[in-house]
Amino acid sequence: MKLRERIGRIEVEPLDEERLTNIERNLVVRVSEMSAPPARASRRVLAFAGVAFAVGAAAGIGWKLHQPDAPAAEIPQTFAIEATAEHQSVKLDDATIASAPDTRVAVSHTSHETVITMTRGTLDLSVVHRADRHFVIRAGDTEIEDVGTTFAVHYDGTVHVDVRVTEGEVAVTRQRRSERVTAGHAWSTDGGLVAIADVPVPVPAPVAVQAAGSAAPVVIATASDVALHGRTAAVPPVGVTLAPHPHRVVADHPAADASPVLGEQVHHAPVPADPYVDLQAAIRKQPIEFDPHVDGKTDASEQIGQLKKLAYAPPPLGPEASHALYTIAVLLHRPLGQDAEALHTLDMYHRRFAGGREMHAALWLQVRILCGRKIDDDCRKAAYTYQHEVPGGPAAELAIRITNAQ
Amino acid sequence: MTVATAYVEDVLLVDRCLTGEPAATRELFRRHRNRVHACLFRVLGGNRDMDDLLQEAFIQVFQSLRGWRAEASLATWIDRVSVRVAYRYLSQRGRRVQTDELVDEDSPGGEGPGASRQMARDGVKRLYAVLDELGAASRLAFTLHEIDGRPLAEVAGLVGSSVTATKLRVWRARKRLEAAAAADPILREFLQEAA
Repeated sequence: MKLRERIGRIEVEPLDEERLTNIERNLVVRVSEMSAPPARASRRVLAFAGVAFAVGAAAGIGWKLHQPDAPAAEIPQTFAIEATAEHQSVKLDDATIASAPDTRVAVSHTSHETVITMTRGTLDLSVVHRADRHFVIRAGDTEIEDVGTTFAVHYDGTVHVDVRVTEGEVAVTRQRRSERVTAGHAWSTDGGLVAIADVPVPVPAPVAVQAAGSAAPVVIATASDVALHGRTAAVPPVGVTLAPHPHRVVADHPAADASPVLGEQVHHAPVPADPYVDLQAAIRKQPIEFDPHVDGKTDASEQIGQLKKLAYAPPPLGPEASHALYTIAVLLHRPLGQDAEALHTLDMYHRRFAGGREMHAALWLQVRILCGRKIDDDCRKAAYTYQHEVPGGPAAELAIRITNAQ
Repeated sequence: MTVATAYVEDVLLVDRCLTGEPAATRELFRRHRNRVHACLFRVLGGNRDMDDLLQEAFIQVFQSLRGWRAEASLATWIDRVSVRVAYRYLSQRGRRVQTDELVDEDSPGGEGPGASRQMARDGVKRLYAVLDELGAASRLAFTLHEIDGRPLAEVAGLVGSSVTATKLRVWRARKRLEAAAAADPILREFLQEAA
C-alpha cells in the first residue's frame, strides 16, 4: 500500500481572521513601501547631515557678520517691446524673442526668471531650457511656460490666445488648468489642444500702421509674415538687446529706418541650438515599427478593446498575443497620448514576451516615450538598454547619442 | 470561472498590484492565502512561526511579482515562491523545526471521537518529528508529493530539480518513515488508521 494513501491529506489548521487581517495589513504597508521611493535616510546619514548643516550654518553666520555690505538682490531688467510695423527681435541670454508687427509686450528679466506679459500680438520664441530659470509668457489669463522649445504665441488682446509648438514642449495654464503642448501641437483658448496639422491656416488681417508724419494710416499687406502656420522661430536679422534697467526699448519708428531706434544694435549671431531639442526631434523622426497608423482616438480605443482579447488570451501565448500587446502600447502612446499606460503595457510585454518578435520595437518605443518629454536618467537608461539589446538596430546610433547626452 | 477568465483576471490583478494599488494587494493576498498557508502547513507542520512564514511568502511574492511572465499560472508561480520560503526556513533552522505541541486539552481519555482525534494529532506530531530529521530537499519532496498530493513532475518543477532526483528523495524519506514506524507503535497505528 502506498504511504500517500495511508497518510492522506493532513488537515490544515486554519489561521484565525484576526491573524490574517494583521498579515494583510502588514503586507499592504510593506508593499507600499516597496513601491515608494526611499523616504527616510539612515540615522548615520541624518547625523552626518545634521553636523554638516550646523557647521554650514555657523560658517554662514560668521561670514555674514564679517561682510561689510551684503550684496543687494538682483534687480530685474524691465522693458517693453512695442512694434507696430515690423518684426523685432530681442535676445535674452540664450532665449530669442521675435515679435510680429502690431505686438505689444512687457518683459521682466533676471538671470533666473523671465516673464513676458503680452498686451496683444504675436511672438516667436526659441528658448534653451534651463532648470534654474523660469520662463513664462502671460497673455491675458493664460500662462505659457517653456519646457525647452521653439514655439509661437498669438494674443488678440482680448481673450483669444493661440500657442503653436514646433519643437520641444510648453506648459499652458489657464483658469488653474494646465496642459502640456508638445511639438506638432497647438493650443488655443477656443479649441484646446489639437495637432497643428488639424489647424486651418489663419488668414491674418492687414496691419494698419501709422506712418511717421502722416495722418492717414497706411495699410500694409504683410499677412504671410504674421501667419504662424508652419513658421519656425527663425530670428529676424535685426533686433535689439537689452538696455540696463530702467531702459525702455520702443521700436515704433519710421519704416525707412531699418534699425531699431532705441537700444543697442545686436550682432547677427545665430540662435544657439539646443542639443536636447535636436535630439528629441530626431527621436520623433525615428519611425515606430509595426505602427498600426490609427489616427482617430475613437478608432484607437475600439482597436485596443479588440486587441485586449488577443493580448490576454490564455497560454500558450502565441505571436498574435505578443503583437496585440505591443500594438496596444503603440496606440496608447499615439494617438491617445496615454504615455503612462503605454509604458505600463510595455512593461507587461517585457514580462510576458521576453523573446517576442516586437521586442526590439518595444524597447525603442520605451525610449521614444521616456525621452519624448525630457532627457533624464530614465530616458538614458532605456536608451542604454536599447543600444545593448539591439546594437545593430535602426535606432542604435540615436540611442548612443541619448545615452551620452549630458 | 473558466481557466481563460481566471488567467485574464490574474494578469489584470498583477498589473494592478504592480502599480502599488493597495486594494489589489489585498485581493491577491485573499485569493491565494489559503493555498500558500496549506502548502506551508503540509511541508512544515503546525508551526509557531506560521504567521511570519505566510507573511514572508507573500512579501517574496510581491517583491518578485514583476518577474512573473505569465507563462505558468499565477497560483503555480506563487507555490514556487512559497516552497522557496519553506526551503529557506528549513535550511536556516537546521533539521529541527519548532513544531507545535499538538495536544488537545479537551480530549477525554479512552474511546470515542475525542480519543481518535487525539491519536491522529499524536500521529501527525510523530510523523513531523521523523520529517524533522530529514534534509530540507528530502522533506520538501516527500511532503509535497506524499502529503500535499502533487505529482512528482510538479514537485520536481517546484523544487527545481529533476524528476529522478525527486523520486529518489521521496523514496529515501519513505524508507526513513517506515523504519521509524516500525519502532514507534503510535506512528505505526496512525499510519494504519489513516488508511
